[in-house]
Order: sequence, then structure tokens, then C-alpha cells
Amino acid sequence: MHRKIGAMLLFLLILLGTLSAVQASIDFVDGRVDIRRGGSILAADFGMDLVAGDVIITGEDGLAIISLADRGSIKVQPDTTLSLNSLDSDVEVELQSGAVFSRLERLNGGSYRLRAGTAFAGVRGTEFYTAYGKTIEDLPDVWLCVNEGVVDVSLQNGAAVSVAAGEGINILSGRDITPPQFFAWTRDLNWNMDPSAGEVLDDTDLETLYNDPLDFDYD
Amino acid sequence: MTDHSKTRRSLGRNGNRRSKFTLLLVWMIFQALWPLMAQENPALRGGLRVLVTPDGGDLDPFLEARTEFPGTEGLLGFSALTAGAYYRFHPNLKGGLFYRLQFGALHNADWIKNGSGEWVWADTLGRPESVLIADLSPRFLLDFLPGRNWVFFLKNRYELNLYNGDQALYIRPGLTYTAFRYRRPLYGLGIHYAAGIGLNFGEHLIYTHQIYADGLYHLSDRFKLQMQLSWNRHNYAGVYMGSPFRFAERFIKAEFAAILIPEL
Repeated sequence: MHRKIGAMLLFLLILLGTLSAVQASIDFVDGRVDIRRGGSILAADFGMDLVAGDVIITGEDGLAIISLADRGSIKVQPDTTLSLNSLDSDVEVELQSGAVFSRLERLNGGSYRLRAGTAFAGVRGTEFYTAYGKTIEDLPDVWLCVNEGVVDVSLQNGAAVSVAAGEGINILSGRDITPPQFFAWTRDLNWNMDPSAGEVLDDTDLETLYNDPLDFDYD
Repeated sequence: MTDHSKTRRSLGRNGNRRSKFTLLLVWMIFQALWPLMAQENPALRGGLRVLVTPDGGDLDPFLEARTEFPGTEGLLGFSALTAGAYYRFHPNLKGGLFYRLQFGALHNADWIKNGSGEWVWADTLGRPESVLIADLSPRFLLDFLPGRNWVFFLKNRYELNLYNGDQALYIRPGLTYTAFRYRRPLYGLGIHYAAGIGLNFGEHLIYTHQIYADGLYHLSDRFKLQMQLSWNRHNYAGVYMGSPFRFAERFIKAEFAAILIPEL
């Protein structure tokens, strides 16, 4: 009987641990990085705890790596605004501008959702890159490339697609998803999130992915 | 979860609109060019061109080989090798400097009388000519037009022929439309007019007129195919051994080009 109660208590403890909020903190910071919390702006620093509702704002030279405890990490690239909408068992972040790398390892039954404009990217353990591209029509494009695992992407208009490792998509003006395909430029993405292992900044310039009709001059 | 249906439907509608628009554009170009081409019963010529222009960002090297096949007039042909580079000073302005080695070019002084007293072109096929070229071309995106990706070019080119000292200025306004799919260029269509002005030779203010339409198919970012159909008029005038001459040569030329853009 005692053993049964002990086992149930252990199960409850594990369940509580699973459902509890994710301990998010700043793991690495370089250059100008601010945290907007409520109505105030705080300068980001190593080890700083983050709470749901915080907005991470990196400057032109700023870069931050956010630890989601044992669940994974998010690398916030320069000129990026990322809000931490939810840090419950189900983590939801919203990319308002710029680019992020997401690496999710153990979600312990929870989920990770990244919102970018009209797009939602949901994963259960993977590594992927999300970034705003150029605004050609009404809304900016959103590029999403997967390094490991599978990312399910859906739009507010109901369009949906699964993007596998090695593939990428472009969400055109928040409306249309291009078929998943390998993009050669993703070979050069810097997925590293460990400063002790080398450079963490990714210097991909998405502007160069767009062909400029003004540049087509072949005679 | 894989549901492309909505995406496909949406992109399909865009594709249909683009196809109809392209057909309309081709029809309009044809309608504009046909009367000019048909009225003067011109000769026919063909050309081939290979261009290698590595993608160097703002600075694009340029290496081109081109040849013109003997036309229905029985000309010997023209061939040229051009090397240089374009530099993009501003999104709306490109400039270039080039050197061209050409064979088979025909000038006023090459219209001569043979032993029988007939007017003929001199054989210039084996005669090398060096030409220095400076190019300055503003271009503007006319995104208020339907289809958005319209570009107006004004190509201005100065040429100095070191063989005979001839200096010419070519002014070429043009309008091109590029169709994109998934933000990648698919094909382009253009219509242009080029006027050649002899700065220190000839009796005509404009010694060449060229009206042409071209199509550019973007097989990939690195390889493109181009077809150009042009109506040409060259005015010649001069004096050969006391005999003055003045005439216009008219021809239609179809030129195919392969364009390679290796990554630097």
C-alpha cells in the first residue's frame, strides 16, 4: 500500500514538474540587448531570469541566447524583437521582427510554438531557423529552414505544411507557402549556440536571396 | 500534416493571371513590331552569343563571345569578344567599361567597287578591330504598372573604334517585364529601341536604328537563355574613288544567347 502511494506521489511530482513553468534565462549576451518587461526597459545580462510577457530586443550589434532550462535554447539574432508569450508547459514565442534559431531538445510532453506574423510553427523537438524577409507585397515574407526534426507550419488562412530536416520554405506575404525544398544558402547558416565552441553570430543576409529586376542586365 | 491545397489554389490563381498577362504582352509586342518588320522586305540574319558574368555583388565581370551568321545577303559574318565589367553605383544606376575585339565589322569605307565595277562589301572577316566601350545605364522599377515587375532602362553607350577612330553613341530606351514565381525570376520579356549616333563620321545623325523584342528564360540563378528578335536599319554614306554612295541596309536578326552566372 505504502509503495503504491509512494509511486503515485512520485508520478504526481513528475507530472507537476512537467506542467510547471519553464525556467527561462539569458545564457549569453553580446552587444546591445534590452528586455521590455511591463512598462520598463531592462538591460539584458548573463543569467538574468526571464518571465512570460518579456520582450527581447536586440540592437544592430546585439545577440542573445535564451536558455529554456533543459528544453532547449533560442538564439536571437541582431535587429530582432522576440516576445515570450508563454513559458508554461507549452512554450509560445512570437517573432515580431528579425531572425531566431530555435533548438528544442526535451519538451517533456509540452510543446514549442513560434509565431511569425500569420504563421505558426509547432515542434516537438527539433532545430530550425525563422526570419523575416523582404516585404514585396503587403506583409513581410517569413523564411523557415529546418536543421533537425520536423516543423509543422500553419497559416491563419488554413494553409499548412510539414517541413523536414534539410528543407526550407518561404511564406509569401503571410498568405502562401512555397513547397518545402533544399535551399543552398542554408548550408552557411550558423547553428552554433555554444559561445565556447566558436562564433555564434549568424551573418546571413536575406536581402541577397531576392532577385532584383533592376539588376537583370545581360548585354 | 501536409496540406498544400489552399496554397496551390492561391498560387494557381496567380499563375493563371500571370499567363494571361504574358500572352497579352507578347501579342502587344508582336503587333507593335510586325508592321515595321514587314514593310521593307528586309534580309534575315542569325546570331549566337555566350555570356559569362560572374556574380560579384556590385561589381560583375563580363566576358562575351558573339558571332553573326551570314545572312540572306551573303555577308561573311561578324564576330566579337568583349571583356570588362559592370559596376552598380546605385540600385538605379549601372556603369561599365569594356574592351571589344571584333572581326567582320563593316564601315562606310568598306563599301567598294570590285574589278567589275560592282559595289560590294570588302572582306573584313580577317581584320581585327579594337573598340573601347563605356556604358552608363539608369533603370527604374515601374511597380505601379500591372504585374509590378516592370523596369525602364535607358542604356547609354559610348564606343571608340581604335581601328579607324570612329566614335559612336548608342542610346537605348527599353521596357522589360519579369515574371516571378516563389520570388524567383521565371522569365522576362522586353521591348527596346536603340539609336546609333555617329559622333565623327557619316552623313546621318542616326546611322543605325534597331527595334527589338527579347525573351529571357531563367533556367536557374546561374543559367539563363535569351532570344532576341530585332529589326535593324543601318545607314551608310560616303565616297569611294570619286563615286558617292548613300544607302540603307535593313535586316531582321534572330539571336540566341546562353548566359552563365557563376558564383565568385
